[in-house]
Amino acid sequence: MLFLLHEALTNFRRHGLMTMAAITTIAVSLALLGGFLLTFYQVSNAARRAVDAFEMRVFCRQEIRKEALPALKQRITALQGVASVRYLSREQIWAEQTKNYPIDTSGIPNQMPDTFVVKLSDARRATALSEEIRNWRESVDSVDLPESEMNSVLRIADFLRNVGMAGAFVLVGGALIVVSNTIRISVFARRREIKIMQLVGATPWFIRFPLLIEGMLHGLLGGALAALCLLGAGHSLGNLVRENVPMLVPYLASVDMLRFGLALALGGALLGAGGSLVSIRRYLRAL
Amino acid sequence: MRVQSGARIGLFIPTGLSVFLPACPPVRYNSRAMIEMSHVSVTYKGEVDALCDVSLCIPGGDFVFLVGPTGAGKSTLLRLLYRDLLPSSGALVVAGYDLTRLRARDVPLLRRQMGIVFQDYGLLPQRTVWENIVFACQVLGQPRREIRKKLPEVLDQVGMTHRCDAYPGELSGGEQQRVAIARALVNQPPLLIADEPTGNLDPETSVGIMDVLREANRRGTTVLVATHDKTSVDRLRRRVIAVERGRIVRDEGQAAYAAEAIPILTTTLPRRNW
Ligand SMILES: Nc1ncnc2c1ncn2[C@@H]1O[C@H](COP(=O)(O)OP(=O)(O)O)[C@@H](O)[C@H]1O
Ligand SMILES: [Mg+2]
Repeated sequence: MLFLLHEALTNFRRHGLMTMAAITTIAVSLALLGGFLLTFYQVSNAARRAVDAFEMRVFCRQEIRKEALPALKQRITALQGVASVRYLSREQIWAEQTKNYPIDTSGIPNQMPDTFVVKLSDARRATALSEEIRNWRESVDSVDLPESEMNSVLRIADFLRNVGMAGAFVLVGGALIVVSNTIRISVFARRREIKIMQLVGATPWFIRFPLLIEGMLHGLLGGALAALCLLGAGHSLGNLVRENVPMLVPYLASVDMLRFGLALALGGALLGAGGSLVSIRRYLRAL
Repeated sequence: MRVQSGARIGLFIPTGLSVFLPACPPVRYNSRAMIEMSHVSVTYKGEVDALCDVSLCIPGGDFVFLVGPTGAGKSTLLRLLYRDLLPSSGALVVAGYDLTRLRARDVPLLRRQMGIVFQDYGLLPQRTVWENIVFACQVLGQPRREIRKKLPEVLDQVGMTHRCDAYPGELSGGEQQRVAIARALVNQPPLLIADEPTGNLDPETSVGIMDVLREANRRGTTVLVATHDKTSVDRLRRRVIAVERGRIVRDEGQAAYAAEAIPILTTTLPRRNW
């Protein structure tokens, strides 16, 4: 057991240059993947916030009695796809209006309706919801929904999601190929050792273990390196955005970089272990 | 494990007699045989017939030379023995293992019964002599203390004690081959297989290597050497199996590299029904 670990570690030393090459290759491909995932996460998060920012306004009929309002609010809240409902009384709105447009509103009676501001949890149900509420003729006068803007934002979000999925797919595939190829090279570099081990009667497990550990370490270090690079890049990019395009800041999602880095390193280790298992198996069979 | 009774075929060698033997003489099954081949053929990729209906029996403790021109099938025959290759047909028992039925995961068990030596030594260049030999023990999971105890003995046996900290690159070809033999012998296998061990060495060095192999045989190891080394074969006068174009053309005890034809004897020998 000790021998196996020792073997795996001294292999690192013996094949120093190749180890470096393997680690950096893995790091580059994981950094690409990680960078893409981060960017995509930010963009899709921004799109979601944009969608979330949309609200539906329900205007009540002028003749509605104040006592009926809580029941109506209840009824809207109970609908599927509604996140929250805020009540604005017609007096409140009027006060606001007179303050903002003193000239236009002077000498006119309050014509504002009681209003419910509805936040949606599912923007895709917005149209259906507005239709339904519009039908409550006895209490609802009209429903206001920025439909076309919303639809275009939704379309953009959908597009981004598809692009993201395809991109992630391609990049994960690429990383897999790069990692397994890198490890295949290092397995190939060990062919003398492997041959001798086989000839003296080492069990397959004994042959595989050091290579497995090595592949895993390559992946782990590559992932960690990639995480470090992304951490640095993300930090300076964040600062750049804050200084130069502050209007974007509310759309930025904070990412737990520690966790992200850990995930990247672990993913690298997993990729390395899997890649080495596959290439060892293929290589041993070819012998 | 053993060849079935109906198919029990080996080779019975009348020692002291020079005879051309028929291709596949059926004889008594020898339970002490280290290697037993019967009607073995090997066809590479379905076209090249590297071995054709080869039968032979090597009892434990024997020292056997396998001779023949390049391409005769010597290496192919040896590869069969350490199951680097499976016969296309025929039965094959080595060290008690029936190779035609040996499962892939049991191959390591077979390989532990033998030491294997090649023309190109096969040492790991980044390890010292000592480490190279230790490697063969460690990969079998042997404890460090045990390895340390048995290494000096085998180094002494091949005469390499004084160079045990050298790297293979710092050694002559003969010295490297000695180390390779030490690695093959360190786990005291009952069988030693050598494929042209002196192929890259000058005649004087070859003598030393052959002496190391002979010494191993004297200690009880069955030794099988494929070689072109006429001088060594003639000097040692051991059993010689000659292969040509995939067939055994001669198998005699205490023989020389080339057939010493005694035409009268071979031609007048009555054809026996074995
Ligand atoms: N891997 C292989 N694929 C196809 N043909 C082979 C292979 N190895 C050997 N042969 C052929 O089999 C024959 C015997 O080869 P080999 O056993 O290496 O001879 P020797 O060791 O006596 O020189 C030769 O004709 C050779 O070309
Ligand atoms: Mg050969």
